[in-house]
Amino acid sequence: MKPSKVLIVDDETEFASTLAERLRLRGYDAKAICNAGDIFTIAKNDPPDVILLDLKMPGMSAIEILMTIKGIAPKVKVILLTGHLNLEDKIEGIRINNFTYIMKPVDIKELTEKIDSVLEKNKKE
Amino acid sequence: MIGISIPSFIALIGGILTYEYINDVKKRQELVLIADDLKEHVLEVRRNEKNFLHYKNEEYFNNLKAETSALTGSINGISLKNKKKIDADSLSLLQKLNQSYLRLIDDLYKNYQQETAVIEQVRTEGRKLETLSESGKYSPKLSVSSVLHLRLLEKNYMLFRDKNSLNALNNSLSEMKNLTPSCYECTPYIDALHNLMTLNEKSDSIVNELQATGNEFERITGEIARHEKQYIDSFFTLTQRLILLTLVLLCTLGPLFVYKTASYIAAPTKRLSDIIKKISDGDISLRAPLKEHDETYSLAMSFNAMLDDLQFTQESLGKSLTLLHEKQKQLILETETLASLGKFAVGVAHEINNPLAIINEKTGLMKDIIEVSDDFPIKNKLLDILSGISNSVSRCRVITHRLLGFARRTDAEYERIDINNLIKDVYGFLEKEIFYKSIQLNLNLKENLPVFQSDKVQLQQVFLNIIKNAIDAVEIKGIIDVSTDIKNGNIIRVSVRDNGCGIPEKIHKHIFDPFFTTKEKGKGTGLGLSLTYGIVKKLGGNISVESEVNKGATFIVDIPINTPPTKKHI
Repeated sequence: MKPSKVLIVDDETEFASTLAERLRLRGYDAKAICNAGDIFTIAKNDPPDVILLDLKMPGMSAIEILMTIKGIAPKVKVILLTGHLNLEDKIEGIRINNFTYIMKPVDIKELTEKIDSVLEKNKKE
Repeated sequence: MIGISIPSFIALIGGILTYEYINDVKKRQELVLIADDLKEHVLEVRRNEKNFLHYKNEEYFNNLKAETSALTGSINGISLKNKKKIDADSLSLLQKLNQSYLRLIDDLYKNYQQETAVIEQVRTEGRKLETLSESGKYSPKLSVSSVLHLRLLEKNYMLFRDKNSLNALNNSLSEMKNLTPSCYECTPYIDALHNLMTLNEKSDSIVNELQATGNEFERITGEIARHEKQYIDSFFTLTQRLILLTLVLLCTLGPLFVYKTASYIAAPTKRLSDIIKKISDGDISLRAPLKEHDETYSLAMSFNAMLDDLQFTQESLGKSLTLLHEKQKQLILETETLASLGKFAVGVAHEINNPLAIINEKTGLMKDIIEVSDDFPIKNKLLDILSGISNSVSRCRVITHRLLGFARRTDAEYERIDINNLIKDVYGFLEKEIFYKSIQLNLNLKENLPVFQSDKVQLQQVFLNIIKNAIDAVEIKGIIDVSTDIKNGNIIRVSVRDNGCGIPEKIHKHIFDPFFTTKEKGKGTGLGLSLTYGIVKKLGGNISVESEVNKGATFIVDIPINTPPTKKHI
């Protein structure tokens, strides 16, 4: 079975690369990028199964990024990574119905469960 | 007071004087009547006197006497008091004259009676003399013609009773005596005539005296009547002058008194109005001047009392306002302190959270690598150490997440809220957790509650925190009741009741304090209820707790329907 493709988008390089390595150790095809602008190219040309997206990306709001990804690659699942999730964002995320989140610092077990859970859902769909 | 009392006093004095005066005049009228009466009687006496002197008979004598007596009666009838008032001297003179008058008419009447008798005698003797002459005894000295001539003269005398006829008669008698000195028969006639002459003389003298007395009567009574008339006349003149004087006084003093009186009333009123103006300009410490005999005394008293009250009220209001300002400043200071503390906490949490995440990942990676490597002597020890780091990171994570809870919108945004829908939304967020813990959560939502304006997101956070607290408090299979209601028609009340461990009474007052927690070390930050409390207060509501240890706790949130229209800033 082909490993699930996970794209980590976070401006904290150390965090993103380390997390990617840990996920790879757990059998995921994980990749980290630091520039939010690259997401859309990757999402278009080589769409991952799951994007782990830091809410605090410079230049765009998380909700805008979410909407854009949904437009380019509707099948891609997004899990928001955040230090603090604003309640408004939480509600807005629920409204656009393509949203799971996990708080930083992440618990790796919780994260893999969430990734598997959204991918499971994706398969059913 | 003076303005009224002076004219009243003058009117009173004038009234008394006028009354006395008119009374006096009224009494004088009586005297006038008396004077008129006397005058009338005197005139009547004089009329009868004329008749008596003319007819000389008994009838007129009686009439005259009766009238004279009536006059006497009139004079005597005057009271002593009136006599003094009229003229006592004149009246007593009148009385004396009256008595002598009475005597005179008596004398006169007697004289007249004698005269009548003597006249009869003269006629008888005359006729005898005629007879004697006709006999011719003393002829030719005593002729018939000379006797007839004598009788003619006698008749003339009786008829005219003037000096000429008397002289002619006397001459004729002397001539007869001289011619017939021896004629003794002639003597009675001559004597009778002389006798008559004497009586006539006497009568004339009495008549003169009588008429003089009568004139005196008229003069005195006339004098009295004139005197009384003059008195009445002077009364009218005086009254006339008095009326004139009153008119002059009324025209001159009247306006003066009115002016004085008006100014007497107006002056204190003006003083009062001046004071009121000054007070209304702001100087409330001023008071109306008090003058005890002023028309406005009681008004000024009440006004001052009112001012005292007003000043007292103003002062206590001022004190309350100062106190309020102080409290407000204190509150603002506290709020500002809390707000900056919150911002500071958020900043710190953000700064710490990212390196914390990196520490977490690096530690995790180390663990991952060691776990997949072959066994080496300190492998387990290293894994233990790394687990210790991971656990500490987890504890830090809880703290930073709680601190970041402060990073909320600072402006309350008001929108229309249906509290039941809001509670259902919150329930939606927590549904999974409730399900996993097998908690029974009952929603007792009252229908048709009014929709109100408030900050939806912050209210959601409030109930999220409270219900999460309840979830933490109850054991597995615990029961939580969330109910909504309306209180007093203007307050929405949400109660969250759990059957958990409860809150001991001694810590009731601390549960809303920041960093206060009863959860075991590492599980609570002590910020949840503090944040909740802050939000509820900011939205104008109230939060309270009722609890009994081991029976559970009930959090009650009251939110006013009439939320303030202005945005609040923290």
